[in-house]
Amino acid sequence: MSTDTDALRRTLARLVVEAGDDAFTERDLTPDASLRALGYSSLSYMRLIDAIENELGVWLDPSLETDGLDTLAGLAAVVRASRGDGGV
Amino acid sequence: MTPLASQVTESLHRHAERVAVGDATMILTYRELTDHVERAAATLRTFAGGARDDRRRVGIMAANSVSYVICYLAVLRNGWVPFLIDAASGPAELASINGDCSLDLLIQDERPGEEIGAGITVTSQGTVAGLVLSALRTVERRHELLDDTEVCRFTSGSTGKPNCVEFAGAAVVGAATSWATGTGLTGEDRTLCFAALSNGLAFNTSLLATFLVGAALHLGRGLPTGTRVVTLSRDTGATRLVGFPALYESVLRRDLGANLGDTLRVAISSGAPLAPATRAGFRSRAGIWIADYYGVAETGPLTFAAAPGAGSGLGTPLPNVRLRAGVPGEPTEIQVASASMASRYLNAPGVLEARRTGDGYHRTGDEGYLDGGELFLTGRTSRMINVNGRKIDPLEVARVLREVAGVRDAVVFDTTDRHDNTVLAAVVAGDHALDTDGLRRHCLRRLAGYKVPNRIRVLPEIPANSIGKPSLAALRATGPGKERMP
Repeated sequence: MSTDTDALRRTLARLVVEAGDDAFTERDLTPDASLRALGYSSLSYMRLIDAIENELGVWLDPSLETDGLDTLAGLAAVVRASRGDGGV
Repeated sequence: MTPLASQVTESLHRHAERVAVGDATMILTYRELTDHVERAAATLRTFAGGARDDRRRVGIMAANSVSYVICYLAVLRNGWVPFLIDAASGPAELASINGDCSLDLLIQDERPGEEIGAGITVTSQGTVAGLVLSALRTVERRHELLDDTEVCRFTSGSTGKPNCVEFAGAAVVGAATSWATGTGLTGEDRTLCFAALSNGLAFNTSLLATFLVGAALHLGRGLPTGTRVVTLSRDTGATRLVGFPALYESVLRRDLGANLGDTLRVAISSGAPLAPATRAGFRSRAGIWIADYYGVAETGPLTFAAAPGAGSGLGTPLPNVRLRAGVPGEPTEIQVASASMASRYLNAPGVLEARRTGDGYHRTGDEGYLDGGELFLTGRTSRMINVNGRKIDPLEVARVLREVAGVRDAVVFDTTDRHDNTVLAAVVAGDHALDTDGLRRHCLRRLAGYKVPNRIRVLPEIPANSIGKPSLAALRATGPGKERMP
């Protein structure tokens, strides 16, 4: 399970950086680092949500606002919950 | 009754049994909407606020919802003046707006915390149409409204703070009428709008124009990701889709263009440049061209392409719009006159007036040309930075950065990221101890999120050109990265 979790975190970290605008790297991405504080914009969030849906096959409802999606740890929890394998 | 209020009342009664407005939680017919508006208007009248005169000033600072529409119409119904404030505004911006505009009442999605804004005192609170209503203590009217002003909106302005744009009711009706007529909007249309109602894109295309003709308006809120857009488009049987280019880019990234539903026939974009690939991709996948129109906060909607194509044109002038621009190869500043011109900036006397030509045209600050009657945009002469349809004044952001201890100077400018999107960047001259996270946190406290620079770089000095002005080329060459100065 923890291996799955690590793999998910690594995938999400890659997607987070790819959807960003070069303002930070995976090295800056501690599990609880705020993406907003790292300069993540609403455009970055839209790219990220699209990438997660495309690659991981889960739908993240952005009407839930982006608070739960502001950290790597939060994203992982939301994705796991959407997949129905526990989480939040 | 004033022109806008009477037009709204007449429209609501005329279309009684048709669907008027909906969101994720409710759908109302025109008759039901009328009932809600009457109730909300009565509720508002019980909250006097600190009113200094009979025309209460009501700030509406909320995300898109049916409740928003009810409150907007209720304020008009009372003969009061709604001030449509971007829901993303931070406490400092709200304080600045309130200081200039002397609001009596404020309507928000949630009960404001202690940080409602400096100098803003709430005297009582309640709810109206499910939104939180605060009565504010108004000490004085810093600026008097013109007699015929019925709506106030905000632009990023040219004065380093939000400019409050006053519109006469006749101008708001004029904008809606031009739009409905010029774009062929009918009572059979169902508009799905993802742009915020405080923004010109929604204000011009959706809010009043829809109700004039008895069409239905469905409001989306939150990020308009492709999945959300497609789901709502199908659920509502939308015939028109309204959003910024980012919405269409997301639909394409998710390859959902073919899933928007059979009823969709018009896709509208504005506010930011539409990439050729987005234009072509959407046509290929959704089967319709995106209609990209040109509008300016101070003049209302100006053009529309009734039969949009692959080109980058913004269409031909709407009814009652006159345009001046250059010719192909020789663009000039675009000047416009319309039936929907703003009157002035409430909080910046003389500034809008100074942008009017002797014969009544508004100098837009954009550059372009006319070719075969169609308008093409080539650039801008103003300093405003356009990030996904939102105009940002770099001087306002730089001033906030300079508030941080240790900052000697700051310059804010636009640059392009690897997704080819415009992003906001800042170079700060300051101490070794400054860190970019702290600077960004300060901006987040003081400004709307979209005004916070994505990239901040700290250097010993601001790169300057030979005459001592900040060198834009050198600034952009500082590139991405959050590293501190060496």
